[in-house]
Amino acid sequence: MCGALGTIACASWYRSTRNRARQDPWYQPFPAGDVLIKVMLAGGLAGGLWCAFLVATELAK
Amino acid sequence: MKAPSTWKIALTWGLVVGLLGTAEAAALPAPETRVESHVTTSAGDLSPFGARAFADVAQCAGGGGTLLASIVVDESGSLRETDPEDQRVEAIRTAVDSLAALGSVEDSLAVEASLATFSSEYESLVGWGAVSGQHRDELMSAAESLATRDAGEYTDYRSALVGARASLDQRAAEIGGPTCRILLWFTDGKLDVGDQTGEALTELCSPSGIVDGLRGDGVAILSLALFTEGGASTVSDADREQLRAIAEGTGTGVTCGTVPFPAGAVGGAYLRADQPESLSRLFASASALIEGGAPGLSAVCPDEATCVDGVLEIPVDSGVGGFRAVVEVGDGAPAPQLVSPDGASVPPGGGPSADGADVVVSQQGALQLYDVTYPPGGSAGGVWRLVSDPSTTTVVDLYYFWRTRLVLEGATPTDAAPAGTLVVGEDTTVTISLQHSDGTPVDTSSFASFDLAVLVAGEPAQPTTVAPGSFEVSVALPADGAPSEVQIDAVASATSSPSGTPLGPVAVSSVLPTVLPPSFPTITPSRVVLGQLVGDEAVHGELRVTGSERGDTSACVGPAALTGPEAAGTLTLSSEAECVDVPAGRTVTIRFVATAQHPADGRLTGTIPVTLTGVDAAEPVTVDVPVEATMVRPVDEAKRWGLTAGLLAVAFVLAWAVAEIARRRSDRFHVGPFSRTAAVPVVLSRDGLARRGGGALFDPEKDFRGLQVPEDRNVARQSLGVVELGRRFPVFPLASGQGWAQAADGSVVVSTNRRAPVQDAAGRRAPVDLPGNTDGVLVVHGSRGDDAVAAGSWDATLVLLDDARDGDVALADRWRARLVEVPWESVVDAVEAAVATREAAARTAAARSARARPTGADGPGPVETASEDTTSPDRRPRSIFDDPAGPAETGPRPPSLFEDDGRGTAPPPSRTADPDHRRPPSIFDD
Repeated sequence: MCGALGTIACASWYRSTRNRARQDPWYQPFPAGDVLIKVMLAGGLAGGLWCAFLVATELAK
Repeated sequence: MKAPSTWKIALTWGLVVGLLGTAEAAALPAPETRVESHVTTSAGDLSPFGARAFADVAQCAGGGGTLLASIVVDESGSLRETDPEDQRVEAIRTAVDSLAALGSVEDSLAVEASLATFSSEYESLVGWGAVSGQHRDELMSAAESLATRDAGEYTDYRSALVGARASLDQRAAEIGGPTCRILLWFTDGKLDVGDQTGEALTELCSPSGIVDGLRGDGVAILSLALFTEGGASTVSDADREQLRAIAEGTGTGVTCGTVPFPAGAVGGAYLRADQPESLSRLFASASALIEGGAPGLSAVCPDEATCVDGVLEIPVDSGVGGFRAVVEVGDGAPAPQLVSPDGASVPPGGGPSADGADVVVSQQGALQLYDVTYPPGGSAGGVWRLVSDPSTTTVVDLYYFWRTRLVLEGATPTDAAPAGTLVVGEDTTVTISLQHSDGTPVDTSSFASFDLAVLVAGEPAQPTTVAPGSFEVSVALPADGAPSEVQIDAVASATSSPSGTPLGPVAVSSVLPTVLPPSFPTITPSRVVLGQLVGDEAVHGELRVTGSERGDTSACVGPAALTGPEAAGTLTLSSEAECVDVPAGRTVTIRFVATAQHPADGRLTGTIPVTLTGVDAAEPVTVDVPVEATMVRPVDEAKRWGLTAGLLAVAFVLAWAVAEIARRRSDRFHVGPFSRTAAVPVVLSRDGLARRGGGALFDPEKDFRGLQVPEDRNVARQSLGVVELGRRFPVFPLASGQGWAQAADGSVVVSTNRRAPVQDAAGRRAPVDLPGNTDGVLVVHGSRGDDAVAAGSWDATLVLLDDARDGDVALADRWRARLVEVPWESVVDAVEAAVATREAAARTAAARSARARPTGADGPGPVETASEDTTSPDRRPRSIFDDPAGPAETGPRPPSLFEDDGRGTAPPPSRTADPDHRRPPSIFDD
């Protein structure tokens, strides 16, 4: 969950930088940011899934 | 590689060498010359308890069966500081090599290993399998991957021990035969589970807790620690002693689990290194100790006392079974040369020596191993020499092997007492003998010292010497309250003469059942093993009572005394019948049921008092029958997956909400003090834009006006006069918001957006990329003449929003350049398509209106088409071709093509079904 939230926060930050880049031609956003954000999000979700499984296992004992 | 025949001799289990612990090791010649760290690592800080544990492992494995070695390696983040060079990888490979060597040469012993990691959780990397062939390769490969496993958050000993125990138990159950179970447990830090550390320690070390569970299951915890000095990962003395206590039961000022160990429990050992470079030698040390070796001298060659000019003398006294030299040489340095007592150099691969020893030289990882094994009876005495290059540093650790075994025999069988039993109410003599591997007795008089310690049911007993290498102990059992079985432990150790080499300990342990006089019934088994108590489910066991041949007897079961983990709450054990009558010669079964109040991990132990009444006996006799069970907390699968789904749902909802909030905050239009807007009258054609009335497209002095916004801000909506800006959001929360523009009067709007000029077929909205300053918006007012459609020329207003931080002139230049790149063909196509769509909608609306209007007697028929309707100038909808100043309408009219009809988005006609709608209407149409 933390990973997913962190990734979403990163995605929001990146989106802001992209909007700023459209407004200011001199400002360059992080290259390949969209792809990176998606990879991070997938990793965060996978980590969250595993973490949820472990927590559920402990709670189910 | 090693010669198998030599290893068979070298690894004859049970012939272990005496060991008196680290104190004895320190008594070796010239201890003052040792390098402290190396002394520590060679013996691994081995205590007498640890030495005893290794002796027990050697004795267990010497009995054959299967040695199960669970290798569990720390993967906590502290390894990045304590072992930055990943020396543990080579150490684990050394351990695997050692286990592979054991499994390949000892016919009666199968060696299986698994590899796992732990930090917050236990994670199996390689399952069980014989340490050879493909499985060995898998272990080696997994060991390589340990270098990258150093990011765990915690160091939770519980996960390591519980995971290893479950794995060992499962594999032992699959095998079915006798097994010796060891846990090779590597860690670099103290117990650290955050704010739950105290609770974790309680779960580990409380009586009948996790550690007691492993000991009771026969798992020898061999803890191999890397405790470095300095830095944030420094472990305190108290933490070290805590880990020692977990392995051995007792540390300085601390204990863990039930101490002293109850009958049947297996002890462990603690070894530590204080430098990562010593890890390979630490694991080699563990391997030698498992094989029954005792740590001897550790030296760094050359030095001026024990290793002058790189020559290390290795005294081998009479009776010593052999030795192993573990040698670590510098990079590129030649391997040392081993020289036998007669002065002959051992060939590179080894071979027999003149004094009868068999020598094997082998490589294990970065270490060179020299194994010298004497035939039964041991060495006759002599001094070996290890000659190393004096110009380089060579570290040598010596391990001595005694290669003897202890054999325990019960009383001589009689009518009343079968072989290997003890008689209740009588004194029974138990014989213990020390033998060479060929069964011949060991003459203990040749040693400088010899000690045989015997424990009967945990209490010391005094042995008496009856012959060389043969000893007797008398065991007296009371007539009442006797146990159903008695554990006898014997440990022998010695020091050789004249060098004082510590030998041993060599151990034997046996549980002898007790028997009553023939007038009493007998009970079997002598210990009730209930199996595994899973959660709060009941577990069953039974006792069989066989009646005396002399007549009828009876047995009564009393309340059991049970202990278990504190978390288990109340433990109960009940029998189906309190008393049973046992006819002569018949067998009656008494069944038991054990339950726990709460699920827990640990071990249930206790005794069941069984009172037996004999034939014509004056008094009944009560026998305490031990009972035991393993307790595990089961996983409720339904609950587990339900919770997983629930947690995921919560995470999903939370993530969705965060994403939604984030995009609604970030995806907005930007306005500020420098924001300018323009509304320029233009003519739109397929060639681009031209200012209506001629001249430059932009007049920087007149066209741009400020928005009068005092400070920078992001807004969700913005009015630019003739155009309204807004935004919408797709369903998927990670998709960006999409801006749109629409004309205030509902006219057709198109934009210069690179993806599409319009957002809907009727041109009600046009897409605008956020933050709104990259796309121009065109509000289309109408055509320029009746041939405008064919010419593709339209009157429009170009509306812009942008920042003019560098001035209006630069802003105008920027937009001129930007508009050059716009695909005007597609923009005009979009306008024409929007007009066509609106015309179609207007015709449909007009037809609907005509149908709803009241009809006269001679009026038109009930069905009117839009085309028919347009033939009447008073009834057709307004067109872009109409004169705006034409005659006023006399009745209701449909909305203009350039106005929003207020009915929302009338779907455009299907272009595939109606070819007329693939293009805008033409003046050539009928």
